[in-house]
Amino acid sequence: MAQTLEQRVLLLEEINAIDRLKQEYARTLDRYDTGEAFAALFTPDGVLDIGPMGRYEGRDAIAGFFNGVRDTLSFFLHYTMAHAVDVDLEANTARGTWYMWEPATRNDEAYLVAITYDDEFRKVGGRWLFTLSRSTYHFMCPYDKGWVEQRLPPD
Amino acid sequence: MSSLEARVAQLENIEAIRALKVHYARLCDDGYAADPLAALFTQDCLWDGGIMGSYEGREAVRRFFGAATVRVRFALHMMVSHTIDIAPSGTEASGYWYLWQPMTLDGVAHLSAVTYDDEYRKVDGSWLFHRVKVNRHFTAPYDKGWVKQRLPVG
Repeated sequence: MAQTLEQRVLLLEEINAIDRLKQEYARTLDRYDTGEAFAALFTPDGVLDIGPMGRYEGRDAIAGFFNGVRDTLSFFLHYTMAHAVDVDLEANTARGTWYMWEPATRNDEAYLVAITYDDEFRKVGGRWLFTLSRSTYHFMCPYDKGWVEQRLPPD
Repeated sequence: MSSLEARVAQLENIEAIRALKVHYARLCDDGYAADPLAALFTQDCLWDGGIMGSYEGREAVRRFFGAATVRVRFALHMMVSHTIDIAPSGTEASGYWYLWQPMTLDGVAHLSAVTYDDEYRKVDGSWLFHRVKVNRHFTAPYDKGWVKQRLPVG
């Protein structure tokens, strides 16, 4: 179906808006904002699926997970990049994938984390929100060892 | 200006600022050429490099970049993960970036992790840096990592 000029512009805007939301996800984590601020990026029935770190449904569970994260992870930076986003302009839904590279300090030890995200979104009241963020952990290795010697943490 | 034209201008402004930041990164990595780098800044700019020092005005910025290669033999500024906001004026903007930078500092391999808080101004149709604030999370020797040594010695 041929797109109008307005639809073409809208698609570019929506791809930009969704990447901005994903960047806000990263920045909210990295500045250790509140669990509530992080959970507000999700729909009320949104799901956070963090592989080995668990699956959390709904804003309260998501906020609870985030508030507990700094017990083991005192520092991280979520370098979130290389987005591929598909938008359904009629349904106001979208899917997106990103690569994420993360230096972190876990139990006072330097770690390197490599994740890809498979996320889903819905536009609600003019704002995009996560309905699902799913992380695939490719490795979470001690910096001193590397991902071949130790792909994931022992504990 | 029609609403559609204004929306396209917004997207173009975001892309122009993205391209400005990436161009800055490339100039740094290609030997920190001081004149082209200084030309990317407004006359009354401020470069706030934290422990690296603060530089006010285009000439101070020019001198700073001109001296960079003394200590930095190699760097790759992997400038990613931007958030860019254009003000309603269309001639002011702000940006937040993540930088991952392998580098050779004083002959030693280091890994640097930085985030930036930028302000931009559109001057005679071109976007320039007006304020750049460097948030240095670590510049760690490669063989030690950021927990054992977060910042370089000296």
